[in-house]
Amino acid sequence: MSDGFNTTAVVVTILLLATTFVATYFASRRTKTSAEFWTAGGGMTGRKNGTAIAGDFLSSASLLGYAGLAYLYGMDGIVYAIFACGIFLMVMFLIAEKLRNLGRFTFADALATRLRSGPVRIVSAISTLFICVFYLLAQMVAGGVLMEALAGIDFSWGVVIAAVLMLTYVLFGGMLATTWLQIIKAVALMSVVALLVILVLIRIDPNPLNIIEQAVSQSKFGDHYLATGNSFKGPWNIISMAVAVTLSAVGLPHVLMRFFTVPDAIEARKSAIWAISLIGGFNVLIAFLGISARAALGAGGEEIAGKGGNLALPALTVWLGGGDGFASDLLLALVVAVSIATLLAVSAGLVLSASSTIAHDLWAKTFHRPETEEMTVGRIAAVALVIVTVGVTLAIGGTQNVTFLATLATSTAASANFPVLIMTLLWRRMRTLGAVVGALSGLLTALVWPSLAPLLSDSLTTTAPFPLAFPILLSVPAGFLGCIVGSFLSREPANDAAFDELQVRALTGAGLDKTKTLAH
Amino acid sequence: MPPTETAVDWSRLWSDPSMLRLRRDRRSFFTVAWSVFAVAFCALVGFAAFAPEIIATRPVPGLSVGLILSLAYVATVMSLGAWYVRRARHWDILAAAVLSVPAIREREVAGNV
Repeated sequence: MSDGFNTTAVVVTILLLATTFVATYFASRRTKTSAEFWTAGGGMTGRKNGTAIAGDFLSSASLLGYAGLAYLYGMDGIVYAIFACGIFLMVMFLIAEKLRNLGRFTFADALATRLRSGPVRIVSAISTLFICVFYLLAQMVAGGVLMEALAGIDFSWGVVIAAVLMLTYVLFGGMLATTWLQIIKAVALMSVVALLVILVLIRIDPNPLNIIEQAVSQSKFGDHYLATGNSFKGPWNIISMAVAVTLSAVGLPHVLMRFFTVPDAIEARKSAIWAISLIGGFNVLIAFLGISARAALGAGGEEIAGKGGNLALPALTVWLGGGDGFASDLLLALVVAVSIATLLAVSAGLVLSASSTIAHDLWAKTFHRPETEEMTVGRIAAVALVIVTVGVTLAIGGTQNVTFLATLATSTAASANFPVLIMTLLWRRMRTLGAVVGALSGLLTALVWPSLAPLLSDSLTTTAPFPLAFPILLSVPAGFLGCIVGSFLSREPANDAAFDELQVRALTGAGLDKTKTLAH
Repeated sequence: MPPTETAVDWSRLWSDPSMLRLRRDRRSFFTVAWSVFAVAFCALVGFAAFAPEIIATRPVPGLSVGLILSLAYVATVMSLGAWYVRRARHWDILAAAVLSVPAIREREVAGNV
């Protein structure tokens, strides 16, 4: 990795971003109403939306992190990536279609079909803001670190540049621009990964099995490289990691929001199957690249790859390009460019999701302001949110563990949003108080537990996406328990008719606005 | 938000024969699908957590039990997803039957005005 300013990387990144700005320009001309701003008018096709969802999920954490984990710990890194393939099966089986049939802009719309609008919207706005801010902090810190390490831009400047770029997408193009940014980035990311795999097969060995054998012989673990337990000590760690990873997306507001950009349930499930296929294929390849890095880099690799292994993939890239020279620079530049585009795209989605809950759930629905103001309020909220996040990012600096923040976000999402959503969709006895207590108990447990858990001290010392998996095993049940206890304590009268309506509409799409047409 | 004050008897609709067919079909799918997923998940987690040495054995050079299990897991997840999409086409037809129940059709017409 070059220590100074990496011109090739910066040029390639600018070229890639220029493409996305063209998309933003066209998106801004088509974004006039709130529905267009928040959900691209509900006119995305399932395939486009699925690619964008995969894009949301395939962050730089998965690109650099999975490869790094597989490089360092072998099988532990592989199973981590493999369990992540099941994430969108959960989303598909549990919520995708029902949410599309019930919601408009935010998932709280779905809750409000049978529960009291005010309390559930306020509570889901609180959890959404917590989740988005933590996730955003993780992205911003990662962005600063990445730009510093790979492009030679100073950390603080990197953060500010990233924030300004990301706001541009949100303010001018709304959901349509954010979605196109994700699509362009996802395609670029897949292409880069595919290219690297081809180069690995050409440069190391055409037979992947031989590459794995070479990796085993290069590893300090020896044959144990292909055994689990090199980093996840003990069965309990592996089990909680598997559960945590599998449930990591079911409550993420910026992922749930994507299901409102398609016109109906048919496109919603197409989105999910696209996301499943793309993520599955990607994760298998990225784990393989991590193993290939072990086979290729040899004894000196450990040092270049960094403590958390995050730079294993860039190191492999340089090696594939033949060490020094233009080919290496260009390949590395491609990896840098997609990593930065990824980061911007994920951040833009998060900001959009956070500002939608402020403008839609709070401003329009709780304070009963006209819906026409939603877009303006949303834009102001987006700017405020980004300023706060940049301030906090610069204050905590690049040393903060990114994985800790990201895990805090996903475990909060799985604990605060997911139980409430599922219980509202499936449990006849659910009451408004149950939703409030469930969301808050999930939120608090997810936030407080990590500061008590002994596991934290270990994982803070590594930078790879290491799971603080225990909180989720405790906080998800806490969320469900809160829903049950709150509902039983509630004096709210039963409203069977509202629940029956919700169920019928969730399964059939009755009452859904069918006038939308697909954008092509 | 669609109007709820129009006279649609959602409770009756929920137990309408056409709705019952849809519900039954979904239930039979999800029973099997969740079971298959549970088996696949438990197999991979179980071996990874409790049998790391078996995971590392290589029946074929370069291909360990763990890698075979991992690929099988990915294949299972993708197949379940694809199966869901296929099955859901049938649900669309059943749902259309529910939506053509007179009560709801009148409301849809009224709601679109």
